[in-house]
Amino acid sequence: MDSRTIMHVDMNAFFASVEQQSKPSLRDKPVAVIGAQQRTVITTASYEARAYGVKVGMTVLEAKKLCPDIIFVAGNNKKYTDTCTRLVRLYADYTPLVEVYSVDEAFLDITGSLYLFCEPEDIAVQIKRRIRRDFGLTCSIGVGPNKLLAKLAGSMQKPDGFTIIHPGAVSEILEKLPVSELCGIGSRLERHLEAMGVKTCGELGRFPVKELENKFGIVGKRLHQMGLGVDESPVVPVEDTPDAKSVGHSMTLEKNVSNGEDMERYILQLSEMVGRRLRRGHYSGRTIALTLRYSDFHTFTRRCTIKEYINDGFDIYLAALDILRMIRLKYAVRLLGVSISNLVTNYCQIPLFKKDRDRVAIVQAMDEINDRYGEFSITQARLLDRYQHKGVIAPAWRPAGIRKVNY
Amino acid sequence: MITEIGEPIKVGVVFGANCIGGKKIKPVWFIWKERQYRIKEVTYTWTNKEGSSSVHYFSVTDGQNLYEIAYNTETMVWMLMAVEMEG
Repeated sequence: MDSRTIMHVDMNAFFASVEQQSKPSLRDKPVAVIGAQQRTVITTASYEARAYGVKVGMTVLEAKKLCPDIIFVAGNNKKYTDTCTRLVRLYADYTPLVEVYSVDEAFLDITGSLYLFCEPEDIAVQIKRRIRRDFGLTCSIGVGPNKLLAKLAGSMQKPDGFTIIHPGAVSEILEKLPVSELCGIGSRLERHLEAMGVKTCGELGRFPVKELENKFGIVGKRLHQMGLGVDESPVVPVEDTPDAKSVGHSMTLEKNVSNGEDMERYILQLSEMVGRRLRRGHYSGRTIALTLRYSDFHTFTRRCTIKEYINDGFDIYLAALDILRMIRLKYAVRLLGVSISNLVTNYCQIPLFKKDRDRVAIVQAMDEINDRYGEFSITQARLLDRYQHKGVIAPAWRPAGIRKVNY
Repeated sequence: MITEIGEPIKVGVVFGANCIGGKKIKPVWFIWKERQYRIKEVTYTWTNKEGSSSVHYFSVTDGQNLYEIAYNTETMVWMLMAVEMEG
């Protein structure tokens, strides 16, 4: 497996860079992209803003304190997702094995492409040149014998960098590298490892596997491999992505709600969105989950599993309402989410009663109209005045398949 | 400050010319409220699906202000979506 050559492409300050390219007056200025809703945080900051310490997740107020001259731009998810889709087409000119890791990162397995392009540097130079010419954007590219090391290489030089980790250099690079530099080891895991006397990747690679397994379970073996720079996971193109395990939508509300009627309307909207996406992917499910976040940010999910597999938004709504009625709300709610899991594909049950058959026909007709004229062109009457939610791009978003959401 | 417009416009376009985003369609001028605006730079492009229509968006500047114009391939209509005045 380590005879592979994997490339990681990471767009630099993606959303902010797109906005700076779109609007010349923003170029070379500290820019922070925020969500389009009122309640929002920083989703990306330009390198000029990062120099002041502005980071993803900060509030507008926090960012303004650090950088008084910062310019806030409301994000445009359509721009970013379309750019990602076109970037993926560009990558596909170099290999068919392209895995979209997130909206601004991708892995390319270029092992087989080196017969055509000779060196990884040749591919990297071409990709960087085309991205700069066609989009006015820059990226950092890392190359390594696997995905873990390719991503690590890419992170070593930002912005506009190119780094290769050769197989022979892995031990030397990892020896003194802090464990948190590896993708998959966050601050919590870092603290646990430090408590065991492990601070560097070198120490992690030498630590007894059994002790890691005792502490972390099955993850322990994976951690040990990471410490050694071993990662056998393949680059998975979007068409080979495994079937979805769940489909869901959530939204942060403009104002906290405690009114039952308002909450039901939001749940209906979310349920319709989930139903649409399920039907598009020919999925049905029978475990419905309702997620609530209180005004104090306490978040919880309640689930129920029903007998039948469903994908009609109204049926999902009724199941979600049943869950809501079992919850004694303590505070006002700031976020609601509806999801469905326990999925099957191409489930077909011919309804017994006429009214149910009519319902299926109505849903199908509505789908055809919404496919033709756009989402919510025809909808439940209660949703005519629906919440115009402009969310952030979900981490699970992909340019094709069930995970593709049109923003 | 961004002002949303949403009005149809006339646009002069060169088909086959290279445009940012790898597009082969480049708007050169547009007429809005009987005034012609010469496009100095197409700064960004993106495409969005609206139902079965593809709508191609262009962010353009005349050197002073920024405009967002869009072409709907189904209706074959150009629209001025928004204007952002500089300063």
